[in-house]
Amino acid sequence: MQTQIIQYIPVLRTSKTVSGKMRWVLLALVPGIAVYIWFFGPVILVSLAISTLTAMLAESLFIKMRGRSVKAALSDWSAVVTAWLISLSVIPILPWWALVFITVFAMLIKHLYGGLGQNPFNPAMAAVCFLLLAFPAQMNRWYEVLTADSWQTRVGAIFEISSAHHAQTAGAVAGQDGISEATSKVAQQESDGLSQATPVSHESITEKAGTTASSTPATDNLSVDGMSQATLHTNTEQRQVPGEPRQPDTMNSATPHIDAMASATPLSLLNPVQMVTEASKDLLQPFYLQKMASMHAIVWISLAYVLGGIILLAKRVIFWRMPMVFLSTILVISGLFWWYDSSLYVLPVVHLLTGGTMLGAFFIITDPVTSAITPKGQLLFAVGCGLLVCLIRALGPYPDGVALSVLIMNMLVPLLDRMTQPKPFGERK
Amino acid sequence: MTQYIIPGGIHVDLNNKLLSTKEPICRLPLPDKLWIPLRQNYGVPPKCIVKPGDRVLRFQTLAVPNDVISSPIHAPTSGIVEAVEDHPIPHVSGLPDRCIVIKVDHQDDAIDIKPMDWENADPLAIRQWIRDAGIVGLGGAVFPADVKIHPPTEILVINGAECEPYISCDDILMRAHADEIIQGALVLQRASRSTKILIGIEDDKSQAIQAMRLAAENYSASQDIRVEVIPTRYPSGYAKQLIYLLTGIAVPSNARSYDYGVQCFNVATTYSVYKAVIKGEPQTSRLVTVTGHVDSPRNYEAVIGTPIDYLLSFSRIKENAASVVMGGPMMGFPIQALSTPIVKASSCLLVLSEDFFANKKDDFACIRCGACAGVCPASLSPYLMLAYIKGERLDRAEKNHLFDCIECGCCSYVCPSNIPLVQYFKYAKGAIYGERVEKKAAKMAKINFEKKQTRLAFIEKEKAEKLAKAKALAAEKSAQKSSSPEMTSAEKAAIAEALERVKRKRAAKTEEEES
Repeated sequence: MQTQIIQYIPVLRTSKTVSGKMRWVLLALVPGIAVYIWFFGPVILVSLAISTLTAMLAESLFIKMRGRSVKAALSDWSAVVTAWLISLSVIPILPWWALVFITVFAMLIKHLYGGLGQNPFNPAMAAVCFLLLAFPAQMNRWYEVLTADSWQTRVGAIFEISSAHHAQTAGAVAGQDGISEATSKVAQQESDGLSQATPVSHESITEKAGTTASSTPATDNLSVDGMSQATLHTNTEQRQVPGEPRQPDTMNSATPHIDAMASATPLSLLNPVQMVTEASKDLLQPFYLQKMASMHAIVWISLAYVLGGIILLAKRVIFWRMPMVFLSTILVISGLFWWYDSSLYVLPVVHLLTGGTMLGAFFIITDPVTSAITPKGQLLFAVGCGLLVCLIRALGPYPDGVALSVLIMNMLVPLLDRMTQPKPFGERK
Repeated sequence: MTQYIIPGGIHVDLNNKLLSTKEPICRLPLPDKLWIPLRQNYGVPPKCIVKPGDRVLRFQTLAVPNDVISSPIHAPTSGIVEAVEDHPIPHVSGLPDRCIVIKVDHQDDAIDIKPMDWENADPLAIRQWIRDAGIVGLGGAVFPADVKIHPPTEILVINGAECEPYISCDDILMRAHADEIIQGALVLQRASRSTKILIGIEDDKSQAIQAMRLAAENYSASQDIRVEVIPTRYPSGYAKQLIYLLTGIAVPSNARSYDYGVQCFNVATTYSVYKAVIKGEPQTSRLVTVTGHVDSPRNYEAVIGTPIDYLLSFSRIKENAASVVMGGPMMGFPIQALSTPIVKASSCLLVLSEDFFANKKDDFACIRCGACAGVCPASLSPYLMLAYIKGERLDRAEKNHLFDCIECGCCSYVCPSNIPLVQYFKYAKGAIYGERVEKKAAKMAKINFEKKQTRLAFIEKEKAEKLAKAKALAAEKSAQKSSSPEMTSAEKAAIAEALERVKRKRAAKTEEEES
């Protein structure tokens, strides 16, 4: 028998590995992706493919530049996780060049600080914020996703080849009901490059919106990913003052503008009960039977993320503390806003089920690299994220705020960890 | 079950212990040759007092303590001392060290031994007796047992936890020698003037618990002996962790347990105390678990100095064995030569198969998952210390309680990136110690230099003073010379008279010559 030199003590090791954890994260994202496909068609797969390929190439390039082993770096799957989170955090029809750009940026952020484990900022969220600041117009195209008549149109939008066709079809299908009429008209206007008054009838908006107030935070919550509509305001005279809710009459005034329209569509979401019943009634139809997808899909995607989160909790890849504290904080703070004035602020449950909340709770803030480690630190980190999300949504100019909140709290992580270091075992005399 | 819970710890699959507990203890036949390392205790190795060619008898002293923290070594059997030479010893470094080589004559002649009348003896006499018997902590630390006896110590903790996976020698010992262990505990109780004995056993050793409870009942009328069951969780069997589990006393890393009125001894050590005091036999053998990738895993009673390959030949290593680890899978280290002997610290030989290394993982970057902090029984932040050590900020690592690390290996065990955290901490501790020694040496050198400087300066000063004095004297003399014109008239007359005499003599001389 030859004695083999064992390098490490202890010789006994767990079978858990970083790449194993990463693979579980990817697997847990699959339900969300499946729901995406169900409602919007396989367009998300195109987006995922672009970002994954870009991320792996960029990772290889940066690793090579740093003189490390490319194979080892790619085998940890972290680049793929970042890529998928980017794709799921931005609109699925984001043009390919923008997606490539921000994915490379995410990898750059990671490797500038020394690669996996060293980056203070969540790369995916940094990419989303980068998009928010660099290409704000790209973030406000949810209505296109929702109103496109076929998944081919959506895929076309990624490669920017069929916008004329899209406009035509959008116009053609318009008139089915108030909402689709309004939105498709918006879409048409948008694709025509018009940004002035949109011929949207007072009735069509208020009818669908019901009695719910159409406040900025409420409407803006409905965009999935944390992209800003406020930044989109090209129409300067209608610039929304943060914190000052837009009144229905303002919206229906003579100068409604693009994002007023864009956000008007999902107003019916504001009643979650109605939302879910409707969703179960006619939205369980897969994309190929539907003429148009709906914002209701977003709620179902959120629920699919919760399922993914439960998988991760069960496999002990993540732990309950941060998601629970984060969601509770959002519930409490948005509840306070709602209690303060329910005509201005939406039901807390809407905050939970729309926007990037669930993706954030189970996949973003639980990123071990960029979140706090100590139990108390994690608590503070999650509370901080939840609080900032609510404040940005309710008072700030950005509609979602998960990405921004996470980045801000990322900066505080070293401090949080330092402040909350545990005392070593033993009572000092 | 106890009410106190230690932080952290890991739970490893328990079936690994069952491998070696199916068979009773096997008393190993004597090998033909023994290599007895001098370095078998924590602290200073003892001094060898035999020389090649000597015939030694069983229980004869081979080496005597060199210091307070040092322990003697006795011959396990009779034979001829063949050499005192360097030979591979079980040490993490894998370097050879001094060993007394005994050619066994299989006569097994022993010197006269006598038991101690411990019940009437002075506690300090018992302590000396234990020291002379060469008893060290058999849990693995091999700290001389007598140094740990520090009367009065209120609570005596007997450690039967055996938390490390795969090892079962303490389990088997408790099953077979429960009564002897209790008697040993009573000796230790008298020596350290304790009032209470707490025996801690992990709940996976039901037979041992039963045996120990039964044995303790015989004495419980007159003594306060309790067998406490603790949850199975590595590292519950570490002295300070077990003390906390049983008593709630949390002894910090920089303090001794006896300062807190409590002391902890392993069951195997306690059994050795029994043999030394009640039977009169010094420590020359121990129980060794042979387990892992072998045909018949079991526990052996092997004499100190038995070569590992001889011991393994009884359990028969399986085909594709790749490595032998001495100690458990958590604390143990790989043996690099199979001629390495069994020492007092050798609790287990774990044979590992090639499959064990089949999916040998490379280490990845730390992803700050915090798993290491979660399992740390000392409530440390291993990830933070790792970052500081990698960044060569050992001072920061020390500030983050590096020296509270008990090197249990839990952090390395759970690390999903496969980072050898404990190695980093061992390295850092060594580097800091080295730095301290260097600093101390530099400080001493500085002091010596300064002393020399002052001494030299003093000598210079003295020289200068002498010189100055001499100069002053010379100056005085010359001054006296120059002051001759002021001589008194009597002197002048005397000089003139002398000159006159000389003149007259010269004149007389010339007259004589002329004539």
